[in-house]
Amino acid sequence: MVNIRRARVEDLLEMQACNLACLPENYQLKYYFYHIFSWPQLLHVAEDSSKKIVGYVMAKMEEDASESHGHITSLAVLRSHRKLGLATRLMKAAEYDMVECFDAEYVSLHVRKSNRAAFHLYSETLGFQVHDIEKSYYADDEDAYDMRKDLRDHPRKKKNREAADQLASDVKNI
Amino acid sequence: MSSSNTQLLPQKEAAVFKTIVVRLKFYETKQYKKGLKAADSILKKYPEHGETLAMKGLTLNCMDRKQEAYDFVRLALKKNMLSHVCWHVYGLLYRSDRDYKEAIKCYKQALRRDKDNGQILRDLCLLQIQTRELTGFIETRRQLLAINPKNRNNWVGFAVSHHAAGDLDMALKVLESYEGTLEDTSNADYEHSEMLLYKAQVLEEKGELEKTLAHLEKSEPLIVDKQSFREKRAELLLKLGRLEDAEAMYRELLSINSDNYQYHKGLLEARGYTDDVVAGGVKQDELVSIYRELSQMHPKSNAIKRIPLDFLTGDRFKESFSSYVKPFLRKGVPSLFSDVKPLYSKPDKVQIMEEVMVKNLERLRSEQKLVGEDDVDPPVTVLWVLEYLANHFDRKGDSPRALQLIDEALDYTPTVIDLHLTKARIYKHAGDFQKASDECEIARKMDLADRFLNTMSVKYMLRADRRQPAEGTVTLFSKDGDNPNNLFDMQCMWYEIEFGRSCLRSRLYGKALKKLTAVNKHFTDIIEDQFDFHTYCLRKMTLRAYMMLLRCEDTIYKHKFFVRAAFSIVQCYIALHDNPASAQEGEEDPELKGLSDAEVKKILRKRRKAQARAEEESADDKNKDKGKKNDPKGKGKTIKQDDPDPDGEQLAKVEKPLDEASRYVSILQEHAGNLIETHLLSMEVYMRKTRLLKVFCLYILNTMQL
Repeated sequence: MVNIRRARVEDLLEMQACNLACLPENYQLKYYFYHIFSWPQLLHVAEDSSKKIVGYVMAKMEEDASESHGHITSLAVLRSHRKLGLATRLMKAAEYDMVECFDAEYVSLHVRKSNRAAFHLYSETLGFQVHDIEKSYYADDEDAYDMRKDLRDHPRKKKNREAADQLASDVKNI
Repeated sequence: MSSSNTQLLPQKEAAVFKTIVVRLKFYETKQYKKGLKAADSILKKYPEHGETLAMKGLTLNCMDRKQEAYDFVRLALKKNMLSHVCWHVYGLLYRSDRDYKEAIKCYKQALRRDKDNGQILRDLCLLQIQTRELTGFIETRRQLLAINPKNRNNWVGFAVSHHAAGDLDMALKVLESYEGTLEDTSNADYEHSEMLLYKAQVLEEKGELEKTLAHLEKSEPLIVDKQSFREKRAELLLKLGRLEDAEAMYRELLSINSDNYQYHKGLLEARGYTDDVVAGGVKQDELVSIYRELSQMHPKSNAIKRIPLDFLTGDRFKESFSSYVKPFLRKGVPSLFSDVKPLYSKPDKVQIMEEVMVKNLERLRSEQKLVGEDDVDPPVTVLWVLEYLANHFDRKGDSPRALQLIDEALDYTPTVIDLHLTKARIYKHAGDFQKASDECEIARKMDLADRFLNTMSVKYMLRADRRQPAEGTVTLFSKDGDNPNNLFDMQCMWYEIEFGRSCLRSRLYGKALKKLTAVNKHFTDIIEDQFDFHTYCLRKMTLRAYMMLLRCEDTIYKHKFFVRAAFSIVQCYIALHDNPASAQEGEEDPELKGLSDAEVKKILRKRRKAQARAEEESADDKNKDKGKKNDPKGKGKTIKQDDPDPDGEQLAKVEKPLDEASRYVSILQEHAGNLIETHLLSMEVYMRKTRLLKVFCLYILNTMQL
């Protein structure tokens, strides 16, 4: 069994360990702190039956931008737990909360040009498109694809609009 | 001498004084130098001016000239004891050295001179919450609110202070008074929404479930974090026995995320099926119908397919397991075994699973079909049946059979990386760490770009005490610019623990302590990391997460990374106590065997000198290289000082190893008292300290508990 749920503060050390085990881009724990204390809704984990974290997504909101949008800081699934669709489930959970809590218009991410597997996941399975190429984005000078996915047609978006209209009419009636 | 007129600056100098304060905010060496110049220009005319002396001290502190900094600030206080600035600066110095107790004393002195100084109060309350001096924290928060009740943070901060101290009534009262001051609350904004959810948390912790639910339902239109709202509402409905509503809520939650096991548990509980019922295999018909319906609504859910295996028994289980595994076997999902591993606690299910898989293997061999299928399976399916069965027999402790099965799979297709990992794991479980490491290394070499394979191989190398290759391999991914490896900076604790344990096995106590105490240092830093978030979370209103932080940090030493490292650290110190000479020799040093202490010392002295010479030379080489290369990325980076004790030789030379061991043992007793190893190690340490009485008492206590 693999459980998909929101992350808690006490998960962060394990998330960091999961990241160090399988990704080349690593962060100090404080950076995970920064995410969870800014957007506690945008961190999700996949945990196995022994409560081990086998995957996670950590995202943030770019709130100062002209369009409010989410950004995937890091997504990882251990090789031992591939082919279960965990990355998809984690991403879906993050996207849902981005739209529901923060009304995001789109979500962006960076991926190494050489990382074909990840690129395939984002473009084929998850519906991201290349928006731009960032030259020498990574510390080792590799370029990154700047990928985006439009969230304006996200099923949750419609509910947001309805709720906002409802609230506005309630206020009027008071 | 410190009369008030010597402490008052004329207009011109007062202006210069201000520039020092401004420059301090720039965090740049250049600005600090200018600040020092400005301070000196004042001090030339007014050498007795306390606050300038203090600012000079603070500037020096920023430039890492600690001792001078303290000298100047202490002189400043001598000249002007009455200045809150001098006391505040003195506190800042202590704070920068993480001596929070002393810093708090200084801030309190500063507040005696200027009791409503908001900046000092804010600095003080940070230290108070950081050190969990909760009574003082509440008082400081009260003062901040009294000074500026218009500031939202002051209200929330006051409420949080009571919550942290466990006074939920006061926390709630403060939150309610704060709500009363809000004018327009009709906007669904994130921060207000977080506040409402935080209030629900306080109410719930008070045990007032009805009120919590009412508060949540009333606030719903203003809550943007709907998922938290739904989760909390579902939980409360369940606790309050409103089962139909609870069920509806859990169904809604499942429609958003059908792979959350907590939601499934909630749904079943709402229907009256507790954990015992589910695990006990009774009421299977009803459970089956619930899950049949759920699977129609959420056909893609993994959990909905998997959960019936927990409650079904006998033939039903057999049938369900048989069809459950098929897509995994065809797709080659390497985690299939780990997915069903919890079922191995039931012996009858183990039997059935074995039967099903053995039959699958037989039919694939004879007809290339899985049991119950009419169509021919692709040849690769058999690999994963073999892989499953290898894991199965490994789990049953039958390593020879497990190896035979995995070898058969590898004979079919030697290029499937995951099969090599399984084989390595079987060797590891059988206790053959050398072969396990060899196998893992084969897997790693099949895809050098995969860090997971690198991590696994390094881990296995360290288990096999192959430290040198491990070091070389791990750096393939941990090189970071000029830094040969960033594992310490990135707090890569698994590596430090495994490396340390390997050194411990090889009796290289200095090296072991070097790596293992690094883990301790990470935990000190993680506690320190809270600091910035005391302010940040109040501003962001992420108060639920903040309370989680406070609670999590209070029990951080129970984390398995710390506990593992601490166990090994204590073992190192015990060994060093038992055999002080082992501080210098390791098992791997045949040259030192059988020599007298004096001779050993002589050889070691010679070696140290030779090593120092070699290091000097190589450092020269490096400098030459740097001169040649014009590395644009190196610019602006401060070059780190070389570690004066890279192999932990100094650590191993500790005066009183048992005192060090005791320090860790007492942390373990406080935070890992549930583990038997804690008490065994405690006993080892106390016995050596000849506290026989205490050992005896502990022994009695433990036998009583066990």
